[in-house]
Amino acid sequence: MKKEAKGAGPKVLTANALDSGLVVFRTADGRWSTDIAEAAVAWTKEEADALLALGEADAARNLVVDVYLVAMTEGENGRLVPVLLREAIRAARRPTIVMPGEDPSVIAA
Amino acid sequence: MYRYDEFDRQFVAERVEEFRDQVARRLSGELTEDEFRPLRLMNGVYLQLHAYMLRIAIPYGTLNGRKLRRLAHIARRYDRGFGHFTTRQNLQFNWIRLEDVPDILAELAEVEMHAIQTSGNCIRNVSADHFAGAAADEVADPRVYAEILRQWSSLHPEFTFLPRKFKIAVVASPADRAAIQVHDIGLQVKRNEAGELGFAVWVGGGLGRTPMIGRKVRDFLPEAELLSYCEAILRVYNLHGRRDNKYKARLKILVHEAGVDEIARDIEAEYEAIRARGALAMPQEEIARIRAYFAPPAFAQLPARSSVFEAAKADSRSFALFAERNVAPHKVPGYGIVTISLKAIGAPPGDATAEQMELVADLAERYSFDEVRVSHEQNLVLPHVRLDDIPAVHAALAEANLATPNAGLVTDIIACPGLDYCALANARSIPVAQRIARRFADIERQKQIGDLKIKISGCINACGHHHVGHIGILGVDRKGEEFYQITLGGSGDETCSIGEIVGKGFSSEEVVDAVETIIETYLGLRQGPEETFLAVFRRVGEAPFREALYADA
Repeated sequence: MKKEAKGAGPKVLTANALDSGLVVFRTADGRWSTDIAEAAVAWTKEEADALLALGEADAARNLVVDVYLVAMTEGENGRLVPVLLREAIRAARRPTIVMPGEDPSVIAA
Repeated sequence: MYRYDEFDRQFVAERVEEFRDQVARRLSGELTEDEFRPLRLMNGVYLQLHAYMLRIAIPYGTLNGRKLRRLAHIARRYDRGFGHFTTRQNLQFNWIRLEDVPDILAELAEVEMHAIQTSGNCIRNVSADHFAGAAADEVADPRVYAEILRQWSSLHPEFTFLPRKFKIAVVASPADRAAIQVHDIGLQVKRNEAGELGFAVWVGGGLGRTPMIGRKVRDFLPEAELLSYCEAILRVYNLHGRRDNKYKARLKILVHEAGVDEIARDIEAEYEAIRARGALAMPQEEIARIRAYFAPPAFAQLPARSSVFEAAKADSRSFALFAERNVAPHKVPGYGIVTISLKAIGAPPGDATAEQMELVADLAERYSFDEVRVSHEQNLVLPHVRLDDIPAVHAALAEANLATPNAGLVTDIIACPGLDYCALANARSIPVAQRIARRFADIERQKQIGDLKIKISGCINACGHHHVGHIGILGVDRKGEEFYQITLGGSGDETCSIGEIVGKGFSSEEVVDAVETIIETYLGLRQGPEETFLAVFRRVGEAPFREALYADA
């Protein structure tokens, strides 16, 4: 179940695209990307509030739905990754399993 | 199979166009998300973890080749080439674009399908015994009544905004293959001493966060009174069901809080009031009209024993295993009911590719009078196959990885989509099912263990029916980690029981070992191979299992 990111630490803003429903992340230049690596990172509460306000404005303009902040943490190689498995699965844009008809190497990779 | 009449066709077509307009207005911004959400849900469209999900109704789990082929087409054209069969005998697509939904619904309407009432606080898809019309032990075809209920409940103006969702299931045999006692209304078609058809009626069953077994309120309701009596039940629920708390809004809570005696009195009083105003008694000619849609196909007169079938068993070990587990007795001599397992070892339970759907459609048309069923256990069924033809069917299924001979065995696991797909889930279900299946992949070991139902849910909403698993597994989130709580002794059959929590949960790494410990404990306790896991649990209780699981704790 969805959990709002609270407390300190870096955050990114996520939503679902209105037309496709795909998971998207807000970028620093105001786009919505399906790649979390392109997401703008808020390091402070003020930055997070500002990012959320921008996202909610985009929702009001019917670009995206279900806007919320995702808590991030430092992963391997120093890259930011979602704290929660749920958000890691969303960011990966796929389930953790091999889907029917898929090459099993997609998971191994 | 029921065929749309002119009214049905027009109604569904108009509904598609209505939703097309609603989607266009949403995409243009004319409708807000708050305005649109209830409209999309009424048409089976959810926003899930990765994308929109479309849930398509398969009334009482009955399909034909044309419908199944259309589902395959939709999977390929609009989704990622596969679909997921659910525990409500429906089909879900996981990656649907909102702008494509009107076209998909139009394509479904062409084959007499839709997604209406697959969500929302209404009467959901009526489910039924997946062996209906074929089972050797049934007194009538339960789909006749499921279809009558479907027609009656579709957009019923009084019951479109219930306190919560409402589920009805129908069987027509003493063996309950549709888990009727964990439905809001469970109906068992039966005959009275005079040979007349009627129903035993249970109310207030359900799973979810508060699992309850239904309570019997009528032992024999005459056939003609079905709709009026259901109307009385729904009316009592609609009037008294709680609307202040969605977690307490189901009929089961009302029955539990008020007591079955009081609810039964309310239902009977309401029923008397309905009768006094001139109750709707179902006309016999109307029942006969619907029954005609489910008339038995033109079965051939065949010997009960098929030399082809027996020879194939003798020749092929894999066919013998398949015949033993996946072929059930048919009411007509010379035929069998074939279960197509969607539980190949290591595959996501209930998923089927477009190619697999098309193969099953071909086989249904060629060998099973063009009938396919979806079981609530997330398998497919060819209900009417000549024993002579089953070896050929088996060979074709094997080519498509659809011939796993595990029906009812430890690897025939029900699993909800879990955190891999579902926005509500707290933990993953499918990988746990896959790991258990791999651990017990050896078919000889599965046979040694015998009948055993493992059911896995990724959250307390219990779409994976874990409460009625012989071994139930519930995924929970514990401080950001996946943990799994195990229940034992549940059963969704005619001896319905809710599983008991055996102790503290297990980590993802531990849970498969825990299941194996439970099974090894069972094997050590049983008095012989004929004593099933459930029978042993009911004989000895949970203590020996708890001891084995937590010995080192």
